[in-house]
Amino acid sequence: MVKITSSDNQEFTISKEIANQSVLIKNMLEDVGESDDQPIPLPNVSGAILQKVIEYATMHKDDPPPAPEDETKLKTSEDIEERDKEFMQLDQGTMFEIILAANYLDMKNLLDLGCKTVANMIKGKSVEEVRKLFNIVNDFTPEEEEQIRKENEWCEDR
Amino acid sequence: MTPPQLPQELIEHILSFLLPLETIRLHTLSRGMQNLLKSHPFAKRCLARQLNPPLPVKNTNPTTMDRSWFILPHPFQELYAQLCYAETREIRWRGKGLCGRVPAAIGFCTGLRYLSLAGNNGLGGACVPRELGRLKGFEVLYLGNCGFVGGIPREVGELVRLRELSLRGNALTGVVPRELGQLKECRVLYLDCNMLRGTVPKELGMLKKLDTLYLRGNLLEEVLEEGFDEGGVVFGLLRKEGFMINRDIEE
Repeated sequence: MVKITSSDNQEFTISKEIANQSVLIKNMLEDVGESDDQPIPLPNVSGAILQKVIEYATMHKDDPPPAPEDETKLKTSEDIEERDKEFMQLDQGTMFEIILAANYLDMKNLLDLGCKTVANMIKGKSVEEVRKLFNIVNDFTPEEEEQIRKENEWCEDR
Repeated sequence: MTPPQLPQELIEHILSFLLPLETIRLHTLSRGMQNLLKSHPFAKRCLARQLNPPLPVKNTNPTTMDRSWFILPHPFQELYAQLCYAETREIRWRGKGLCGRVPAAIGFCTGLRYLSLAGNNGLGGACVPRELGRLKGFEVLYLGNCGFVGGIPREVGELVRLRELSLRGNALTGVVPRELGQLKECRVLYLDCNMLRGTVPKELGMLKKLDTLYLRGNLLEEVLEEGFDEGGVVFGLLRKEGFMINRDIEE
């Protein structure tokens, strides 16, 4: 078993196969060796988010390792398993926290799942809503924006 | 709970899961995002998720990605051509309702032997890309009724293996390039129903294998250029089209 602690000092005890889904923790474990039972501190992830991440890792612990040729298979935002879709039914804040945690913990599948989910959200949003979502400051003048929109308008609705 | 700020690299990762076509409207987000979405590295990541090579050697029905090829920013067009059409021998997309522009990136489809885009008038208002001249393997090129404007690129004359060429029914202006006389293998040449001017160059008289020639419906001089080979097959074909030589008028 492996012990990990969150930024708010919550301690979790997880099995090694679950811990190893995070490349960050896997590398740490290899560095410190088996004998050490000191908890691994994860100062970038809160307890609430870590709870969700462990839930995800537990759900996927029996997944077969991906075949090398899967790397070239289609990986669009439409390819999401049903159980993962359910898992991702979260408020936007939690979703972003999970993406950040997955990035920090180096969990590629969870990171891609989070990013695909957000990509799917974008499809139904206006440009202004997307700006709000990512905190992007519009530095175009209204004229410039209109110009770009015009240039591209013939490829919309196709 | 306000959502935390995602770093730029993660926003980029998220956007790379969108279909290339869906990223276009996001060009208006901000200057930085516009540059990102038009960049080569982004195009590569985004396209890599959509592609499932190898693609068919003979492509007769354009997919959504094939259709958006005519619309996407240049780096997408270039990569898509390199990744997807490098091995393609035949593209037969006659009358498929394609819209946009024939990309300059077509010059990367070096395996192409046969291209038909005829009857896609949504490609109109643009020039025939001179990059076509890089595709030396071309045997058949049908670009009729696409609404092309501008001149016939001289580079077309470099396609020395060309057997059939159609540019009919466009809005092409300028002259018939002398370089077309280099198309020694050409059997079929349709240049009718454009707005070509000037005389028919005498070099066309050297196309010994030609058996079909249409030049009608242009603004060409009716009198052929001085020195046109009157013994060749082209001369006969032009006679049928109503062209004359100087002597006819003098007589």
